[in-house]
Amino acid sequence: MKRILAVFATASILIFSAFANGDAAIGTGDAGTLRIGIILTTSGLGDKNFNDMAYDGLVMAENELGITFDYGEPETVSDYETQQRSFASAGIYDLIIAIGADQTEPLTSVATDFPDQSFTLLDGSIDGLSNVHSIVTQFQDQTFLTGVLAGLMTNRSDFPMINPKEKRIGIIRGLDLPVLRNATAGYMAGARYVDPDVEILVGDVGSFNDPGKAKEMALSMYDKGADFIQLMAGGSGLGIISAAVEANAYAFGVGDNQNGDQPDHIPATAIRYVNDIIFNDVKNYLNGAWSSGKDVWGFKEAVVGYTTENSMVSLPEDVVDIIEDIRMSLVAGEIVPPSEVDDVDAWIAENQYY
Amino acid sequence: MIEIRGLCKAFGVIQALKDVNLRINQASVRVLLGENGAGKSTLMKVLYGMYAPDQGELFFDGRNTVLRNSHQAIDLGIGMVHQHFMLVEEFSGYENVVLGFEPKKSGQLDRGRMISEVNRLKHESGIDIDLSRRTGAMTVGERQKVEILKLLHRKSDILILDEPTAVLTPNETHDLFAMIRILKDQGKGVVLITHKLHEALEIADEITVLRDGVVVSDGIDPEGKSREDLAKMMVGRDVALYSRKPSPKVGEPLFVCEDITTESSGDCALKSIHFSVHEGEILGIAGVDGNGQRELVEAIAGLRETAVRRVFVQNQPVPAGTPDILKSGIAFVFEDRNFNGLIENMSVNENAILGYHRESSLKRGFLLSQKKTRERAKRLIKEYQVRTPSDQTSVGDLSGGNQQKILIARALGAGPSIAVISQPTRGVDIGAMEYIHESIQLFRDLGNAILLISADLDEVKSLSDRILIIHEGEIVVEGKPTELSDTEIGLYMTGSHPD
Amino acid sequence: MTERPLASRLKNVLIPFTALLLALLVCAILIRSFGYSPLSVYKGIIIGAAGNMRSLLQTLSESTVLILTGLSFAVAFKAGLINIGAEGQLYMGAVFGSLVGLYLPLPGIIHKATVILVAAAAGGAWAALAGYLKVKFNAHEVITTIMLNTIAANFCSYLVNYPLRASEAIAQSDRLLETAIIPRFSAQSQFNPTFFLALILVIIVYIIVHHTVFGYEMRVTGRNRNAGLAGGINVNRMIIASMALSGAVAGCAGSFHIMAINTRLIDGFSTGFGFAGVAVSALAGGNILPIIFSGILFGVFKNGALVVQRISRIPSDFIQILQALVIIFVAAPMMILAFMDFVRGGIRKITNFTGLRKNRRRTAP
Ligand SMILES: Nc1ncnc2c1ncn2[C@@H]1O[C@H](COP(=O)(O)OP(=O)(O)O)[C@@H](O)[C@H]1O
Ligand SMILES: [Mg+2]
Repeated sequence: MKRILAVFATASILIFSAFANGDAAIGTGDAGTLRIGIILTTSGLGDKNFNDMAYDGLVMAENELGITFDYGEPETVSDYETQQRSFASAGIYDLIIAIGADQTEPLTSVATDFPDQSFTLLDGSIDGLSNVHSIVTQFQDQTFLTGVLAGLMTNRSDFPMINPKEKRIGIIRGLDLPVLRNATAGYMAGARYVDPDVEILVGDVGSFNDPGKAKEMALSMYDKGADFIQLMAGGSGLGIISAAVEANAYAFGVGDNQNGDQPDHIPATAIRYVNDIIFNDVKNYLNGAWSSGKDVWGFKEAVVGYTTENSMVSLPEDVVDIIEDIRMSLVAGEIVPPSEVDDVDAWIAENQYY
Repeated sequence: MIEIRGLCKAFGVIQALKDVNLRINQASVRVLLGENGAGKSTLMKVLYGMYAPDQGELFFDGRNTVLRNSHQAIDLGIGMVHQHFMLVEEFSGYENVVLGFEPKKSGQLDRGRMISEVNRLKHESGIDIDLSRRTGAMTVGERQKVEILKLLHRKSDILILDEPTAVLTPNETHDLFAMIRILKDQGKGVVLITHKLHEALEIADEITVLRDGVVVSDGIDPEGKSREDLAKMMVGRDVALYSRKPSPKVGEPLFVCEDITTESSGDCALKSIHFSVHEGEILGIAGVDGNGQRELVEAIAGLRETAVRRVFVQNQPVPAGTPDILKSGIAFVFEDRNFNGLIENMSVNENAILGYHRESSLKRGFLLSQKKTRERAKRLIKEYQVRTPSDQTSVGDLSGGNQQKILIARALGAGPSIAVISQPTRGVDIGAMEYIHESIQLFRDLGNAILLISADLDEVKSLSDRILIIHEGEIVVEGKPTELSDTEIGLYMTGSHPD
Repeated sequence: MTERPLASRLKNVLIPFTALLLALLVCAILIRSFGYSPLSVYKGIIIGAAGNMRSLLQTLSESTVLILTGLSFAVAFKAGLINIGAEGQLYMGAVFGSLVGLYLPLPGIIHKATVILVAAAAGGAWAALAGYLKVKFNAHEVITTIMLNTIAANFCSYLVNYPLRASEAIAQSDRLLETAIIPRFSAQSQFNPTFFLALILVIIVYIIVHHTVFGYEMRVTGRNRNAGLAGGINVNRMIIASMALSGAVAGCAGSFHIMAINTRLIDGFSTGFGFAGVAVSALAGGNILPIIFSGILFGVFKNGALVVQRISRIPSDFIQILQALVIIFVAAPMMILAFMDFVRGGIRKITNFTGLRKNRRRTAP
């Protein structure tokens, strides 16, 4: 008898505690506040980069602009369409944001089916739909300054971690994708802008999710005398960072500021302010400044850049000055980095810092 | 000394024990005899503190005691070896013996003391075994020795052994009995459960017979009792045990084995085995277990590689693949029903067609007809008096005797002209045994040929029309069962010649 | 261990059901302890999975591939094999199916049928390879299928990254030829005819397993290999054939997914459909027909998770925890039995007390 009482007592406590204060989080937004939906990529939250930054942008908007937002984390590529449709057919979102190039195709059909719903697509472009705002960023702008830094430092003899002999630096990409080719061109151009003799090694891991292989590639690049390696490999990037530690060399972060991850080995990050992009898009929507069509944003729009914050590597005064000088020219639009690797030689012939 | 008075125990509506009284004395061997399900294990588990009795009292050395669990029983000096061993396979024999009562030095197992203590026990009880090996690698007989040593290590005065011989070969049984006698002489009380009658007669000081949860006779002195007497008490009616019924008519040779030779691969190699079985004849093969019987049956059935294999049915060579062998009219009952006879968690009807499931009589179109399968199973159940709630009952839920009947029914009911039957009544109770023997004889009387292999000498002698004795993979002698004396057979079986 | 035989039919239903309830309860506690509201999660699942026609149909669409991978696991399991390779077999089916779908122009219905058959053959062959390795070299199928999974996924990845690559930005092939695409019933959801094909496959496989000689031999092999040998069954051939059947089902799943959902081969398009099949099959208690229900239930979880997250901003990880709990409770039937015993013990005491107890009979010996 005691036991059965115990069973019932426990069960009812459990059920009560589970359901009683079920203050449903459903419908937190009041009428009148702007409501945003965002569909993240299959990597999901916790990637310390693209998804987390986009999410941060909305949290920022929530705090500063008073909007509310909901998000979806698709598990597989086939979930993109389901999620987009689920958000769109809910009919309660003022704006739905989809991030990542692989959302382009499903969004094209979903946006066609919901002509009255506004969408923003980051990293892909959809033409001919009046309800979609497509944003792509200039990857060549993003890596230009880390290239400059590498070009200035690669033959310095006052840094024990730098091999002053060869002027060799590297970049390791996840896959040979167009945007990453743009990034490569920017990096190359940046380095050779300050020193036309710098040699740039390019490697493709073949996956954004293979840190082991990326590490092997990075180690072999360091072995060949590369002093800096620019990360451009998503989750594989971790392997490059650990190779930098092992080989006692330098690497550049990408995306969110990664300098703090290995402050002695990451002097700078080629940063992309996904949070700001999202925040600004929402802000524009709130102010009525949002419009469909395609935007290509770069250094000028301050959505990409370069940061040394959190790094313990102290750069020489002269280097810092030069970078600052070049940054001003970029912002002013006096320098426009080339977007294609094939155009770099021609560009260098015309543009030289010295 | 233990005394049980007025013990009752029910499981749901099953009254497993009714008003049982029993006394267990030191320095004496008490055999508990009874058919499967008679309540033997239940009685012992009550004594060991595993089940609480519904009614009744226990007296230990005259003191009324209530047992709450088996720890208490162990403390009182009662030890039990269960039907299913309770050993940690990954541990060595030594570790298993001391398990739960380890000699310790500063909280750690004291290996030196463990080994010396256990070796002393081994010595005192005359148990000969290498305990340094992993128990998982030991034979059944060895594991049993480990279990017994475990009880001795716990200083048990009363040893309960639940069907210890069911899993043993005759030689191992012999060793076990020798061990029990030593323990008895040291003053231990032993309770041994079995349903083998000759064992009871051999080892018991007193026999208690249980039937349907009731003690039908107690304190029987084995002196002057026959197996038939005991069987009658167990079953409650007269049973014809091992009654000889010679063949009405032995005909032409039907199944001829000119030469079967195998190479040894860790087991017993067969050396040019040859014999022939005639129509209407049972040819028995006697021998100590492990002398090639198993290998011979497997070689005939095509389950074992052979170096030479010249086997004929009606002068036609028998093909080498098992499906073709079955089709050629030879049916098999293998020695170990759990190993390759039955599929425990499949129904009776699905078990009843194994080996014959490709027959077109069971099909409907390209499907296996459930209706026809069940009809066939029901027919066999009826013909062979298999006691099962239904043909859809899972075979594992049946008693050993009924499982064995299914194997016999499947083989003989498939209409073969030759049957190779191995250990037909191993682990089977008396009622079923009698019935299986009758079925085999009936099959022979219809003019079929039977090769019978059994470690039970009485079985071979009473059923066979002719006997071969096998020793180390060779046939050493042939004769009529009436012409060979037990001593002669025993000598041949152990490889010596009587003359 | 209890020696009491439970009415096994009832047990088969009760165990998964109790497991589900327990999982819901335990998960509710977890959700609560993280400061979220279990009510809104469970409500979200229901709304998301069946709130309206669109979500209901989407749920069925999500369950299609799960039913099939569950079926794939169950088939091999009937033959006593643990095929962890549905993931790889699904990829192989998708790869070869899409090659046919991309490059072999055929008239509509024939084209679709060919894609499916080729996918089944590819998945089957991939699984049969593991069977062969088991028979020939005694390599355990768990190990080999896991390794074959990696190979298959990487093979697919290689193809869409290099030779089949159609888009610069994304690692994916061209869209299949129109004749190879199975259209959806409406644009509203991904629901499409492959759901019904999956149901038909379940029934066909059920008939094969339970009503044919092949299935009989397969089950005998699975439960007692030695009895199979003694009964004249070519056990080695059965192992390979059962793996092949299991893989063929997974291959079909792959082709269905590319023909009706993705319409092209995409890098890494399956994030564990194959592994989810193990769970689906476990929930069905290793039986075949109940896979339909457990597959749909997992579809409910999957589709419900979308909405839970969307409307309550609760991490969808909780739904994965819920699924994991269901599996744990199903996979631990002894635990459930103990729990049921515990509750029943209580109930018996009450009924004893009130004199309501009925006689429960054991089956006759
Ligand atoms: N734990 C149990 N639960 C239900 N019935 C049991 C249990 N143990 C034994 N029985 C039943 O009690 C009877 C006696 O069983 P048992 O003592 O094991 O017989 P024996 O050992 O003589 O073969 C049988 O009918 C058996 O089915
Ligand atoms: Mg017993």
